[in-house]
Amino acid sequence: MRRKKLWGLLFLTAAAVGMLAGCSTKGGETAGGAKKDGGQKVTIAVWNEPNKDDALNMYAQAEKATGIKVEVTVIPESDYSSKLNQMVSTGDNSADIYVIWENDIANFAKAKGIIPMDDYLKNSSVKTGDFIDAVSTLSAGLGGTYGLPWCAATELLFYNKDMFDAAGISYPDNNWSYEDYKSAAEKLTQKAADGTTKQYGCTLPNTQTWWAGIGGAGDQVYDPSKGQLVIGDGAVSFVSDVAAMAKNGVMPEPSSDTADLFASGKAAMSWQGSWNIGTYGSSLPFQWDIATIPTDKVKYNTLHTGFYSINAKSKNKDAAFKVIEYLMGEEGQAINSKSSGNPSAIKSIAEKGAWKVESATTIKNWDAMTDSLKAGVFGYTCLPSGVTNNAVSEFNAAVLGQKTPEEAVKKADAYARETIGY
Amino acid sequence: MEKQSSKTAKKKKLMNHLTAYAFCAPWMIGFVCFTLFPIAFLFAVSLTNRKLNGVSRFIGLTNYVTMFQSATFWNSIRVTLFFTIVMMIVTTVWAVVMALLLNYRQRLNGLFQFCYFLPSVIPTVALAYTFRTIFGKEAGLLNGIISALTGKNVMINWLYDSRTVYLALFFITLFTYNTGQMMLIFRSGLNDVPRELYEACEIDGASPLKKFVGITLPMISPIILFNAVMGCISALNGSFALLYPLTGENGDPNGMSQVLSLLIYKEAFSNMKVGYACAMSVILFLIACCFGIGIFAISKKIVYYEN
Repeated sequence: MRRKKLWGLLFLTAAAVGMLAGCSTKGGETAGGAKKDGGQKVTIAVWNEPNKDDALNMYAQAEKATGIKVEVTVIPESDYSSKLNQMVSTGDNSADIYVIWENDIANFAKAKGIIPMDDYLKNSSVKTGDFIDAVSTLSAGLGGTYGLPWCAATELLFYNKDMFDAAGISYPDNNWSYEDYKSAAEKLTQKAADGTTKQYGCTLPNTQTWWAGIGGAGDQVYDPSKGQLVIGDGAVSFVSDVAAMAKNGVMPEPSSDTADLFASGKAAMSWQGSWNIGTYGSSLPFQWDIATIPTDKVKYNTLHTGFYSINAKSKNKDAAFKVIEYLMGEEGQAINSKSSGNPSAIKSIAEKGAWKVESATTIKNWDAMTDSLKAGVFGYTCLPSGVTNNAVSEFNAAVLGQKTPEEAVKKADAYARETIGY
Repeated sequence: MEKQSSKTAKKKKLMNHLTAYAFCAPWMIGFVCFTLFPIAFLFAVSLTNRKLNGVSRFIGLTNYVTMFQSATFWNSIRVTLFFTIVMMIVTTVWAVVMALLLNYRQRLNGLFQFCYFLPSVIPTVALAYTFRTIFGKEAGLLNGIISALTGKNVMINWLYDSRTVYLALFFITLFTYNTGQMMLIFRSGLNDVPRELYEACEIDGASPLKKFVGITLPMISPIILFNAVMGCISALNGSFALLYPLTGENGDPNGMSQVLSLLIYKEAFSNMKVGYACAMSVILFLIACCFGIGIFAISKKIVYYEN
């Protein structure tokens, strides 16, 4: 009996100790994230893995430069925005710095989930007056500086030089028109004896570059004053073109295939984000280069960025700003550019050209990047992803012949009006 | 003396009741916290314009009015009803057929059962991604096999062609956990059908089809009812995990596979309209109730209970 009691007491003690251990914070830390040894820790939420090379890992370098431990929380890109919204909703303080997207910054500021950084910026070295115009426009009207742009990514035409050489067509340049592009795509297409396509002239626009085509065809795409999607004749024209090219086998039709046809050498041209320069680097088994998105009625491409912002619930706001200050400084921005291939949104830093990815040795037309930056606007990225993805789905249905381009554009527009402004 | 014994009996009865309630309490607490409260909260949030970042204001029935005026919502209701009914029929029939085949006394029956059930153990999302690759147009395994067999370059756009998308989707549902589970339940039900009934039929010279229609079906009809209800609920609530990786939140192509659970996800997590998504969830809840009640109503006429 006494032994049973002893065992019971031991069991209860072990359970209590276990529970207490479970409730404790990680070794050496207090609840606020400050370390017992006097050092500080800041957690940053991002959607992409930091570079494995320490020299190109801006967070690792920020840690060295500031003496503040920087912990990176990677949230998958597909769930990134919704997870951050939930964190704001629940007052979560597990991340001190959010890198937030264009369509979230105004909502987060309104929900008081992030703080204005104006007081910090008064005595800081961040060159806020030197941002590219598009960033300044986007931040205007928020009633403060709630976010600092971590880069300015653009959209470009990637092309396979070997395929152009084989077809005897001159390479695209930054003055290429949309007609030049369509004509080259047709010439570059190779068909098998049974009529199926062996080599596509170009790839289908992806969820991002559909908007480059629609904006280029003359539509405003995004109206910042109303926060609304604006599509019409331009969209009908571009969707019709894509449908015709897919029907003729010049570009693939929408399907469940996930392979990158450009990278696998099955398509001669592709409209993609500038971040793919860093991804492709020297890994493609052919010569390739870049040019600006061909100009239809307007020279247009969408700018992409994320904004460093401070969680209103963070207990380490000062330390968080110190880390942001480093990341927005010359060194932090240069490392980001070298790692991702995206230029800085600070003009004087971008001009130094750290974004010319060293491993992408076949690129000669680096001017394409600066030209794209000049023509770039914050467009569809300011809209809820449900609206833009729905529109792309409608466009795809038109390309597959399941509805007319006019019907697709009308339906996409109707859904946007039903959804935005909720 | 009598009074005291009656008091003791009452006390004992009360203790018995309390003991019973105490045993039920853990489940009741779980039910209230994790089922009843979320349902009540869902109804409450459906009357607000709550966004994913927590901003919220009471707006009465506005979400419901907007929803009933939305073409996207009505398309989703049509797809949901179609998908639920067909999926329930396809999976139930397939499970019965597989159970009947496995019920034949032959060698390696256990191995066959293991092989048929194995895909059901794979998580639905992993299964869906695998089939997405199989049903690809340019690099799909299925097109590759058909091309090799026919000697022609076959490029069927299985998941994006309006003529093939349902065929592909319902084929995939045959390999989900729900179908595998149904098959096992049918199999155990078939084992319980008295052998002497079949023997009597054989003496009367009944054909296998007559035996199936006259004996097997009535005897397993309560199990069919159970599986139909489970299949129906699974199609309504569980189809999200299958369809999201295959056809995306927009239910491509052209909204043909946009069941209500996909639309709810899209509104809540892509458009951040949590209040609106909750109003849709209320409708999904009501549809599930209607299906349950409907199936039970029909079953009164067609289900045979031995006792």
